[in-house]
Amino acid sequence: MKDTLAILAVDDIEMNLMMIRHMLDSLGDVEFLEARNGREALDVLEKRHDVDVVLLDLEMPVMNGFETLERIKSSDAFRDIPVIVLTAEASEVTRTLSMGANDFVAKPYNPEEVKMRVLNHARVKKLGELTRDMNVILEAEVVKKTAALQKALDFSRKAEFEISLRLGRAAEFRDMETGMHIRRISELSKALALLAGISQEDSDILRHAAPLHDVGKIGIPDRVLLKPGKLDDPELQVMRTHTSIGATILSEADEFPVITAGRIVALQHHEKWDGSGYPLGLSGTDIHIFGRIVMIADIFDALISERPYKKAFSLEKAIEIMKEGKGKFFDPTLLELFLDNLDVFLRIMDEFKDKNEPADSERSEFPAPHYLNEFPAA
Amino acid sequence: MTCSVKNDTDSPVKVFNRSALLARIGGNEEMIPRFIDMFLESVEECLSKLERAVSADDFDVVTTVAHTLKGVSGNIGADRMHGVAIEMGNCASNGDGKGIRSALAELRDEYALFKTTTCAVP
Repeated sequence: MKDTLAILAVDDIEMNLMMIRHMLDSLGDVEFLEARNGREALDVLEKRHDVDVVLLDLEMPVMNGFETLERIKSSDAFRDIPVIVLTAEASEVTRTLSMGANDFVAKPYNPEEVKMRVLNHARVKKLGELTRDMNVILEAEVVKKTAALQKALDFSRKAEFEISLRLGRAAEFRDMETGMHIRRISELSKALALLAGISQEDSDILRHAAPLHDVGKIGIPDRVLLKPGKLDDPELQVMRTHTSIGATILSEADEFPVITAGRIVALQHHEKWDGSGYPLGLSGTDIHIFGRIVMIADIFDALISERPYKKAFSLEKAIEIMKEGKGKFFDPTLLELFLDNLDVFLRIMDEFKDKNEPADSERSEFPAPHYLNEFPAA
Repeated sequence: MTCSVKNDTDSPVKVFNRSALLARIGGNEEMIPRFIDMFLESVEECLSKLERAVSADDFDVVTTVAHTLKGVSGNIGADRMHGVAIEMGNCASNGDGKGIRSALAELRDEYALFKTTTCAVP
């Protein structure tokens, strides 16, 4: 907002103009513009978009004050410029006010009154401009903040995934799995979800939730989790509680989609298509599709990955084992999709293959995962 | 125009209300002669327009010119001329040709008096 006031006085009598100029001189930083009739006034307004107040006489040749006022107030560009009518007739006051004049000053002029009215209207106009400027600034600020918010949201989602990965890894660290196993389950599950027609958004939620499938292992005592050799029946029962423990850890988080999906995956990734799985013995499509997907990803990865306690099965052997589980362990449709698009999953296996993590050698005495024992062919 | 411009303090309605003018122009004494010059110029023009309009009984023009005269005489502090201009405007609005003529004569007298008072006679 500039500090100078630009005031346009319109009068055909030189003396009147000069008198106004003298009155306004004491206002300080005033630029005084003059016009001798309405036509000239409009020309000045066309050239000078920064006029703050128009002082308008009514009786003028060429274009009188009434017509000038009408033109100013019907123009989008000029409407907001305050017009103060200079008049000696009370009857003209009402007429010009009804035409949109903002104020009037009576002749003979009272210098204090003229100054006050000019200042008041200039102030109102400048406040209006300030409001418009503020709106532009605020709009730009909203755009900026929205972008920042989006960035924060993206970061928060990334953080959620990262925490999910680390939490899953913490659980896996207690037995034999590697960090890359977690990554592979994550990516394999998402790829299979997309192939199954699940939306991009939900597939991403599954990608972020899949690392949590074994988080319940945190709650399994070492004597069971790390026991070499086969588990007896009571031990097997304890081992199987990692599903419900995981679900408990991840429960009551309805407003967090990733944790909610993580709870489903943790609880259901050992449910089998034929109803012989645990902990609830659900079958078919009663098992959430996230559970059915992660089961396929988890077992496939276990079969073809090399572990300290076992060599990797050949791909052929692994596929053979998977096929045997069709309709028993696995959702047949999902397994079909999986086997038909094997190249997609092998690329993921390759991209996220185990690196030589020092943790692996430290864990070499760890036993094989017990669920592999449940596989007849494994 | 080199004369000291004086106020007439005797009559109740002033021929020239110097202090009012001075207030209007921010106490700028040295500007008074210049304003009076400009005033006289405006009045001369108004008077010749009035002569023509009165002979032609053109009341619209009389109304307009009386209006202008009312404005300038008010602003300069020619209070008596200001009063006559108002009267003339009223007559014009009422279509009172006789009243206009008498007001015009009165206006000429007041104008002469104003010039004398302000020592502005050439």
